[in-house]
Formats: sequence, C-alpha cells, structure tokens
Amino acid sequence: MLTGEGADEILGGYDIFKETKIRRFWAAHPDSKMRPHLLRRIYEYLPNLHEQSDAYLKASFNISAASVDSAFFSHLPRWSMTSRLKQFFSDDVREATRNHRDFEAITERLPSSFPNWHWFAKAQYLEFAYLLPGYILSSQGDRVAMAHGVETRSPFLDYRVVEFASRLPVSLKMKVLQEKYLLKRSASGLVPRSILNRKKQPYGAPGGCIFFTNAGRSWSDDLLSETALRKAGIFNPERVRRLVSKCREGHVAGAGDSMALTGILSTQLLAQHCSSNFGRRL
Amino acid sequence: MSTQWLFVKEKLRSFVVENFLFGQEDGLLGDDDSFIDRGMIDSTGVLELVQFLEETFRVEVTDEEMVPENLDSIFNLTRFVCGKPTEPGMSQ
Repeated sequence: MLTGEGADEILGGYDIFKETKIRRFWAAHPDSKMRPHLLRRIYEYLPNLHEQSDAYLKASFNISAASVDSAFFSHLPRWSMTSRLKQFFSDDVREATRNHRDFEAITERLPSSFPNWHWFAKAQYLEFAYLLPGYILSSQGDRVAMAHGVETRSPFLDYRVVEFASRLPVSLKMKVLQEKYLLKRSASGLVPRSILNRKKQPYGAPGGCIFFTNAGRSWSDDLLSETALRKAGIFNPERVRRLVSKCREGHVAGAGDSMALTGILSTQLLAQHCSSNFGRRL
Repeated sequence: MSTQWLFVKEKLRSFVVENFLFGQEDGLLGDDDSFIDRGMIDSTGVLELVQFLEETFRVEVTDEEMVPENLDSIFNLTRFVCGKPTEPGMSQ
C-alpha cells in the first residue's frame, strides 16, 4: 500500500509550520491585539484555545524575543508541555536524570550549520529527525500496518524526492499560510478540487479518560496499581494516583494530563512485558 | 489579614497543589510564584482553575478577567476571589 508519509515534513504540511510563522509574526509585535487571532484561526479545532486570553496564549506559545532566538523555537510550546510529564517520575529516576539537560543533548546532535538555517528548515529538520522515524513511521505506521499484514511504501521518502524538496524555496512549501503549496499545485487536475482545498485536520487519539471506561479499567487499574508502579520503579505512585483520580472524576482533563496518563500507561505496559526489573535497567 | 483571606488562600493552595503539582509541593510553591513561569499550567489548566473558582466560591469569572494578573499565583487568585462579590450560600 502506498502512504503519504514524509510529505508533510518535506513539503510543509504540518500546522507547526504555520504556528511557528504566526508566533514569529506575533513576537515581532508582542502587544498586537490582532496577531494572536491568527493562532486561534489555525487551531479552530482546539476549543480550549479559544477561551484563552491573549496573555495566556502568549505564555503558552512562548511569544518573546528570547524564544525566537532559540534553535528550537518552533517546538518550544510542545516540548515544554511534554516536559511537565517529568513530575511523575519516581525519586530514583529524578535523581538519576538530575543533571540531564534535554535541549543540550539535542543541540550536540544538530548539524553544525543549523544555527544559520532558515527558521522553516529548522522546524522541518526537527520534525524529520526526531518525530518521523520513531513515532510517525514506526509507532503510527509500520507497526500498526504490519500487525494487520499490510506492507506500506512511502514514495515521498524516496531519497531523490527528499533531495529535490530540500532544494525548494520555502515559499513553494508554504505560501502565506497555505500548506504544501507546490504539491497541491502539481496535483491540480489529478485530484478533485474539494480535496485540494480541504483544510488539513490532524487526527488525534481520544483523551486519556477512555482508559477509565468499564472496558478500559480492567487492565488500566492493574497497570496503574501501586504494586505495579512500585515494581517498575519509574513513576511515583502517589502522584500517579492523584492524576488518575483527577481523570476519573472527569474534571476538565487537558492535553497535558491526557498525555501524562497515556505515557505512564504505555511505559507500564512496556515494563510489564519486558522485565520485572525494567526501571532499574534503564 | 482577615480570616476570609486565609480561608480562601488555603483552599486555593490545596487545589493548586493537588491538581497541578499532584500533591508534590516540596514546600517550594511561594504565594507569589507564577504558575506559568513554573510550567505548572497549560491552556486547560486555566479553565480548571476558573471552574474551581466558580464552583467553590460561587464567583463569576468573565472572559476579560481570565488574565494572569487575576489567576497566575496563589496571591493573585486570593486577591481576585476576595475582591469579588459572592452569591449567597458560598460553600464553607
């Protein structure tokens, strides 16, 4: 089966590219009342975001001159949200990772010319190098497909296509805020107009609360029990218990909490399957 | 410092510690510490806070009031709640 994997990375399809462009635009005039509306417009499908005041949007999207200078400007909001998950680590894991600096570890691995790249290329690189291989291609793609006997091929990842796309000017990838501009132009006449003009809509997994339906509980209760958490040694049982009860009570459960819960459950599942001493061997 | 002020502040602190720090306070959350700067709160967190204020203290929070000056530290929250007229039957 042919899949489109890689097209968003090499030809500029993801919302994160639009988001980065708008955040840069806003950061140039941080007091603007109009610029934040552009963020609300690209994230029409995120209702919580629409209830935020500009001040909160500015904080959660790292709108500041200092952030714009960061090599990781494009990914700062997502990475800072995800790093909140670390508060659930057990004391042992926190102690063992106390001196670990995530950003420095990635900085060391970047190509030496990276600081001089166009901001769009930087964002593309981070997507391509860190999200595509392990997450998009493996977790979301190949493993799921092969589990059902489907073998996929990704023509956009042909090295000649990637090399060609890498030489294209940014304006042909995203024109103003139109994603995959060149690809859509080239497909005009081949693909129905309704598809070409369709707004890109990411698919999302249901929030963490689905694990507490009757069907989900039989195994999530087990994996999240104090005994299981202590045995794996990765997470702090007391904090996980509070997170679980927050999700169970059905208070507004946000992306951060859902992500934490899903991350903890997946890790616990892995720990249970791999070893009885998983945490200490990490 | 009035009794009401202390009562409101303690209620707010226990909610914040329970919901955003998952019980782990380490005695480090100062009354003036910004939730944003400490990375404790995301866009949904603000809504959780507002829901808590409305349910617990029966105050009404308008869109214009959802700003860090009112919501972004224990102190700001306490000042905001104590400055609000409450409806009869505020929960104790």
